[in-house]
Amino acid sequence: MSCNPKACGADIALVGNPNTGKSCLFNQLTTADAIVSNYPGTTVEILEGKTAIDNKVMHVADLPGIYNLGSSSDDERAATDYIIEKKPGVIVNVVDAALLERNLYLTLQLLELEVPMVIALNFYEELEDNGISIDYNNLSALLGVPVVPIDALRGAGIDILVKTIDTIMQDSYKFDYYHLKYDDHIEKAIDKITEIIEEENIPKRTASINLIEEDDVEWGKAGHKEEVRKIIDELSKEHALNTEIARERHGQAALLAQKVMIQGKPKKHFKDFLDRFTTEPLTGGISLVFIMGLSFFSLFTIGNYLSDLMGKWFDLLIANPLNPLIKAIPSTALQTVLTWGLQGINAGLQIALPYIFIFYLVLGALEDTGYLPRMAYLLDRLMHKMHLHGNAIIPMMLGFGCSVPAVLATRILPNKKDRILTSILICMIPCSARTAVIFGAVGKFIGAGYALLIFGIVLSLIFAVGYILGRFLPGESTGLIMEMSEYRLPQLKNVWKKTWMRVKDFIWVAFPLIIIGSVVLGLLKVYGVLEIITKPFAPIISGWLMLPAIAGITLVYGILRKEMALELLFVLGGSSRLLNFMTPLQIFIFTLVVALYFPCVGTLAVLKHEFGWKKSLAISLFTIALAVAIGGFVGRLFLIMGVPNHGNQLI
Amino acid sequence: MKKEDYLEELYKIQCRNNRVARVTELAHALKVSDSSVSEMIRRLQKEKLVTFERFGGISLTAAGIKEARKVIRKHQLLEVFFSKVLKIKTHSHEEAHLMEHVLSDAATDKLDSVLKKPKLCPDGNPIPEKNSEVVSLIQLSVKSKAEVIFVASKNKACLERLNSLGLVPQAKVRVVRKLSRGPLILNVKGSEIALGPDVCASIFVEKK
Repeated sequence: MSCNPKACGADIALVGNPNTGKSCLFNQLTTADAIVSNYPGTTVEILEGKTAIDNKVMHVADLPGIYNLGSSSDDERAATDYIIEKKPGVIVNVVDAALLERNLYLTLQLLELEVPMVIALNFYEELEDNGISIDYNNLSALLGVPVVPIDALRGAGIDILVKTIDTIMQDSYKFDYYHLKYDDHIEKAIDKITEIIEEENIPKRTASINLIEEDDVEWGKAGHKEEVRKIIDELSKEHALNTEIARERHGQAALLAQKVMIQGKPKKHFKDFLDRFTTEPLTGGISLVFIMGLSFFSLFTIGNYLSDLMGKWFDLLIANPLNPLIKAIPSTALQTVLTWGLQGINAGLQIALPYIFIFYLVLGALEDTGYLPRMAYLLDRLMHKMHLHGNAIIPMMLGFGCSVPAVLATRILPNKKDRILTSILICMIPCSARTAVIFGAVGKFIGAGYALLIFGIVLSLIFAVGYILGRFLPGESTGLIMEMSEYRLPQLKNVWKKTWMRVKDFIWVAFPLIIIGSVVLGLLKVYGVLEIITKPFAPIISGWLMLPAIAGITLVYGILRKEMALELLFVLGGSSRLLNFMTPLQIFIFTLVVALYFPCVGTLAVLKHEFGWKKSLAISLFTIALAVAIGGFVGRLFLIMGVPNHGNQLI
Repeated sequence: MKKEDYLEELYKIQCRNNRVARVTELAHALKVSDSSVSEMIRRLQKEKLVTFERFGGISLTAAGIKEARKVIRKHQLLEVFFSKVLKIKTHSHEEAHLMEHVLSDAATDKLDSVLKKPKLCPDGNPIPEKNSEVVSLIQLSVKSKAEVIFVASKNKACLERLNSLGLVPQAKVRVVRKLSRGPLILNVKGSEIALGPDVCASIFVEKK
């Protein structure tokens, strides 16, 4: 099957419910990188990669996880369109063996499309551990398509799956698609509509069923609207057609599952105990606090350790050998560019990289264990106080890494109000760049306790804003509906791959910006332009916030990337010891402002993309006002409490 | 139109569609005007048998569901009687419809035992049991089992999610875990789903 992948889709497309291990299978099949995750909503984009079967290069596509073919969400629409329009050579329907009945709902829909397909029963070994087995040969006979048990995590059964795909590609598998029989009145309508419509890219019968289900995508294409609509309108006076069809599929799926599942005696498992322990009210609360505490503790200690290590190696390997060389350059301009550029790299390596790396490592591990949905469950009540639901906790957790993917992840929330409110709160959550500033400035020069105080202030502000704003934002909100995936031991390879992908992104985007920023700043300073620019902001920066004038200019740069505010402060101050040119109180206020003001340009762009200019500008202005107000206020509060604005210690 | 007819029809519409009902829908089914529906709904609302939001929709309350099931039980037992004992094939539905209002509770129970406690009516629909306990999901405690009656929500996104996860009428569920007043984790078809308290409050079930 030779096909241009751009025009007609990949040779192999992976389709299945969320959390069935599709991305994991994708990683097993292909050489390309992909992110594997344990909660719904990550694979929003279609991932493509390559594999070799029988000495031929095959394109593999990983479609977003869906429960249903149709058009009720972006994910559903994307996956359905891909299957129907691009006609991939073979569809691999990835099915969670433990949830066979529910997964079969989608399978029944795929069968109706009569496309070449194979069912991959994933996590099959895990199921046998639970004392259940599936007669997959019988399942294959019943459905008329091949069924292969696999274990995508450990790589078992993949070779047989590949062989089966090859057989299908050679056109040597005889498909005998199982067709669902609906109630008589629906069958009659299907027959009538089938006579009217013309064959397009899906079987007529399936097209008729789609029309009866009133799937918007198909309506637009039916050129015989009137006649068809009459039949359906007549029928829908007496019947709720889409519910009846859905119920029929659920019923059939249950029957099929019953036929092939053989129930044995389930073994007691440690993960069942763990599941219980982490979701019971008391122990669940304790473990939540413990896990969060441990995450932040490791972020702080290991991050600090790596940061120091980076500094040492940078001095030893790069700064010390290069500095004399740079000094020998006759041109001042070139000298400035090189020294400041070098300082920028140093700042990036010391401040951002260590903390961001550790954060994504911890987050990746948490994602892969399946703990995040449990967090959503435990915090649902608390989130209600902010007029949100537990499901909002997942994008918010991502927000501790980077606001950009976090805002995109709000798509898993079912309505606009929740999405906007969560996005506003995400803009205030200390992302890893801001965490780097908090640890790298306050944590390092004043103390870990004060770094935590900043987190405390910011988190209480987030709570207050949610509490107040949630009341006034219009729109209704949908409650928590979330699947609890089983606990799984995270695979080091997967976590590492994921962390590397995310950190790589950071390096490619951030480092050029930091270097260019430092160079521009250096040139401005050397030629005396800097003072002129900072003057108009003096009343706010020096007056209200009590910060040195240079801090103001770095705040502007912080708009590009948050951690640049601190990095350039090092560069401008001429020292990576902040206390040389700032008081502890100033460092505290500066950090607080950086943590709160303006979402960076990346976030602004994604906010604009999701909600339009008006709302994204409103969010930006709101955060600036909040940051300036709170920064000055907390500063005054410290002064009143008798904290000096000089010396080397805060209290 | 009698109050029982409204409750019965409302129950049927909600079970069929798995959502709240609209005024026009009810009017169409009962062949009466929208305004008479509104009037009756207001009365039923006072008796706490239904809830009605102006732009939302009508739903039976747990008490309303109980009342409706009582009438439906009478209706279906009468139908069984007509078809099994009297061998009447035509008009049995209409006859049952007239008699369901006058049949006493005691006579219904007698009829039930004479017919040997049938489980299904001639159309194949399950006959509600006599003392079944109807509650919203949020009232269930850990480890209790139940069968979904319907989801009384008007929120489309919520309904679609629940439908695709298998929370449809007659689905069997079990509460796996629960935090004091919700959320809870529900076992549906072998998979575990966390549901917030507000979602749970809109799902009516029959305790098993």
